[in-house]
Amino acid sequence: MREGFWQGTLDVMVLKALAGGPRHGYGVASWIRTTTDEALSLEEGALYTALHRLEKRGWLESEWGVSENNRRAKYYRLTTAGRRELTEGTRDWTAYAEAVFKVLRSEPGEAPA
Amino acid sequence: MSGFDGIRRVFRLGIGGGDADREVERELAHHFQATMEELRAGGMSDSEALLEARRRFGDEKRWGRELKRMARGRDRTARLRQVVVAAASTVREAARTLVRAPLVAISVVVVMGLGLGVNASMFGVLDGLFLAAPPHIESPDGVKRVFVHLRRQVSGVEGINSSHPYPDYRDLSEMAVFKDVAAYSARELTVGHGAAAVRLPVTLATSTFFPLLGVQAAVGRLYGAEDDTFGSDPVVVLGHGYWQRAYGGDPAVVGEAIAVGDETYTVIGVAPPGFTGVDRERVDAWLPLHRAGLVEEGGTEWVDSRGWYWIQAIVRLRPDVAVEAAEAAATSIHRASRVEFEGYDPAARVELASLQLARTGVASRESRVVPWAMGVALMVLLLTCANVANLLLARAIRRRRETAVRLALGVGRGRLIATGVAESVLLALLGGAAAVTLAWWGDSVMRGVLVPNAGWEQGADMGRVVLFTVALATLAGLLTGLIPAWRSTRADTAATLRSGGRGNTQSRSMLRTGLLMFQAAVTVVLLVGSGLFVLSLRGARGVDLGIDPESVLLVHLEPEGGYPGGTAMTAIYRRAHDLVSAVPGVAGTAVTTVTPFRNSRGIGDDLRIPGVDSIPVTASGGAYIHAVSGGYFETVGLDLLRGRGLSREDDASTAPRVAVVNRTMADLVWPDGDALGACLLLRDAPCATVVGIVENHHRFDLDEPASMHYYVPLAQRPYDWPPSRLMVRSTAPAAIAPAVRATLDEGLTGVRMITTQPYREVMDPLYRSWQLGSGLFAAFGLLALVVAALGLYSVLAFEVAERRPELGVRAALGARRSSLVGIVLRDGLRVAVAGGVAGVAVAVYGASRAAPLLFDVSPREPLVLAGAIAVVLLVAAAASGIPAWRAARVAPAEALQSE
Repeated sequence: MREGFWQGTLDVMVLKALAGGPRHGYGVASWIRTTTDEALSLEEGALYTALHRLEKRGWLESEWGVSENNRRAKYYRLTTAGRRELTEGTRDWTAYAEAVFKVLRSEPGEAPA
Repeated sequence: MSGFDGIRRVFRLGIGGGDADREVERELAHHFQATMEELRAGGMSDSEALLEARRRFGDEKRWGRELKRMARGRDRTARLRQVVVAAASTVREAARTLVRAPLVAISVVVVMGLGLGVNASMFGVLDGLFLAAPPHIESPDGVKRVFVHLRRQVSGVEGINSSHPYPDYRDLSEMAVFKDVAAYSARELTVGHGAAAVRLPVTLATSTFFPLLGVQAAVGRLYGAEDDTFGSDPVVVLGHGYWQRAYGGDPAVVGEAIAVGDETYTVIGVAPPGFTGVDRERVDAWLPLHRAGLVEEGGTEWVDSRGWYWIQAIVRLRPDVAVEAAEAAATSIHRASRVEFEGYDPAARVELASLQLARTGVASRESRVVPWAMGVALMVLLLTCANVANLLLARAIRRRRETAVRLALGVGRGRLIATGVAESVLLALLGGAAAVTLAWWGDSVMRGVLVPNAGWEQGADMGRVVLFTVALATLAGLLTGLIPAWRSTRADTAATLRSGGRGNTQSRSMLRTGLLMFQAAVTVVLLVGSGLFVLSLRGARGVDLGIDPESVLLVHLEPEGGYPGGTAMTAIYRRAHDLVSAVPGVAGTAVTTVTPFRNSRGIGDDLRIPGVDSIPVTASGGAYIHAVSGGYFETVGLDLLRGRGLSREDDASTAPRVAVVNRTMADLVWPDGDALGACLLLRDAPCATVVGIVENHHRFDLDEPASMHYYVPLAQRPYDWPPSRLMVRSTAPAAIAPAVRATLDEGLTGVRMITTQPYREVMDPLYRSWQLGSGLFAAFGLLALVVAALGLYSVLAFEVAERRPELGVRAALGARRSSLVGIVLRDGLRVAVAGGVAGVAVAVYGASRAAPLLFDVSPREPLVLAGAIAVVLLVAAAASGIPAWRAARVAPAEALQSE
């Protein structure tokens, strides 16, 4: 596993949300809500803290633009470094999730496979 | 609630800071907006949607603040990076421009270097004398010198005592208001034996001295209270420099024995490097104060005597005690101690003065000149700045086409100015580096010239000098760069381009002329200063001292084996007198108990004059007594006015008692009658008849009130004083010194050390401040003259080059060569005259402020003022000469062709 696995699944989800192109904060929240079928609903505070933190780390860059309803909004976009982080983070998180899944799926008392 | 404002107001999360905050607010506002719209689309009413949206946002204040903080931080970093990048590129660009035109750059660096150099050197001295404390002193602000202000008993004149009797120190040390009290006395003592004996600066100090200052030994230990008593083992602490010189820095010196005076002392430690106590004189060894009786005359009387003023006292105040309160307490103790002393000034008060002597009332004349010299150095710097500004201005004008193009292409004016300023600051800093090198190299020269009697071992604190120079250089660079950069970018772009880059040559006039005039004014001021000091020096040297020190050699004898008493010492000196009389080249010798300008003696009430109820006093005090051997007046060069002098025959205890008085005494004591034949009663002795009147002489200074002196034969002196010196008259005192020493070495017994000194060396310090002033001003004046002349020349040369077409037209139209020359010459001289007159006005004002520093010279001395202007005019004419000559040679045809 890569060292320095970043905090929280939130960060990797936010990065993924932007993989398909730039979005503003509200857009990221909507996308995550929709994609998880309403299972996950981000708290605004956590979301924006994550966005600013990721931008500070250089994985995102931001730009002011005009939204779909003609309002000024701040759009975020993955940087090259951000894309790299996304790939590695995805791999790490998937491996982690599979390991946990194996444990939880096993029968109690079963010897490791 | 509707509308954008309402939503914005919701998100006014605290009082924001600028753009970063507003951005965060807007971002969140958008999210809120979108949420509300979504909810409304889902069927909620406005108010319901608002409530729900609010709920979702949660505790927005908290995380909103955090967001803003992060945003602001990022903003700051970005802006900083921008500034650094911009600055770096400006500097790079500036460097490139300079490299392309090295001549201008080099001349600016040289001129700036000189201007900054004199300032760096002067600052080094100023810092050492006034600002910085002597090395190795902890919290120097809390350490104070003890002075007593009082009206002197005999003369009634206000004075300051920096020396005190030992009992006064004891009183101070018992006062609770001081944290620490210490006393010290600087001496010159003989160290070593026989041929290896040398006289070294040794300071006696109480054991409290080192702890008060917070000093630690570099090797071994410093002496403590147990070493500073009568009967303790003799110990000594060596000065660091002496330890290096005499023992090669060997740490095994601890425990070594060393002879000081007649005692053998054990070395117990070495002081830290550069430690000189609270004064700036070199100290080679430190002895406990209780050794005082053994190294000098006086035994143990000094402990209780309030008549012998020989100790300097320093105190460290308690942090909670105010200086005024401490002074008041000390004053009342002081006055209480003097209550029984009849005639002692009841209003005497104690002052706790600054550690830096130069800042106190007893500052030497030389140190008082230093701040003025610093002011002058700054003036020189201003002159060099004006010069450089002109240079840069000329260069900017030459590049005006390039500048106009850049402005037209949209390069920001601010950017161009910044580049220009960066260039000049860079040059100034390079000049500063040269200046620091100059100052470092010339530091010892400066000290030798400026404050030789300060024996300053450490020299200027170069770290502070560097800081000062960097700051000054940056300021100078900003000053010189800003004006030309501002001016040149103000150019009317279109007009410049259209006219083929020629522009308006008349518009230069104001600024450039102004700068030239300023340089002329500064030069005049410096020349006037130089003239006034030179005249002061001449006046000072012209003062008739009464005696003739140029022809006298002083001899001092130090006895072997402790002070043998006045009678024995006199016998030794008499023997020396006889021996030296036989040396070829010696015109006369005399033994004296008082050496004018070195010491004075009075016996107060022990002098009575029958018929005169109270002997008058002068502003200089009472009558001073000299006990001398025969032939004294001839030897020392005092003129006899009436009667006769004192001869060999008079100099016997069995001979009739005689005396000689000086003119002032004769006039004051016997205004109606005749001094000759009068009777002087000294102590219990019978009448000493006045047999002669001699001319007055100066007692200790060039400018002093008249004093009364009387002379008695050595054998008839009222107290058993030892002689002060043997005086030897010769046409070449320094030349005969070796012969004198050799003769005495051979013929004298019971003498440990023989020192000779030309008498004039004792006088030299008197003239030093004027020598200093005239030297400094002359040096600066010359520098200013050269720089200003070069400045004038370069500006005029530049202008002639610019005006070639105009001159060519004039020539073509038949103007005579002389009129072309006249144009240029008139230009140069006009500047010199205008600047010179302004300079004279400033000089007169400044001189009247500096009048106390001058000697017998009016600040408005016409000769000096006229001379200064004349010099400046002459130099200006010379500087204008070459360009004028070039102007005359302009051939009309080729001048017009260059159009």
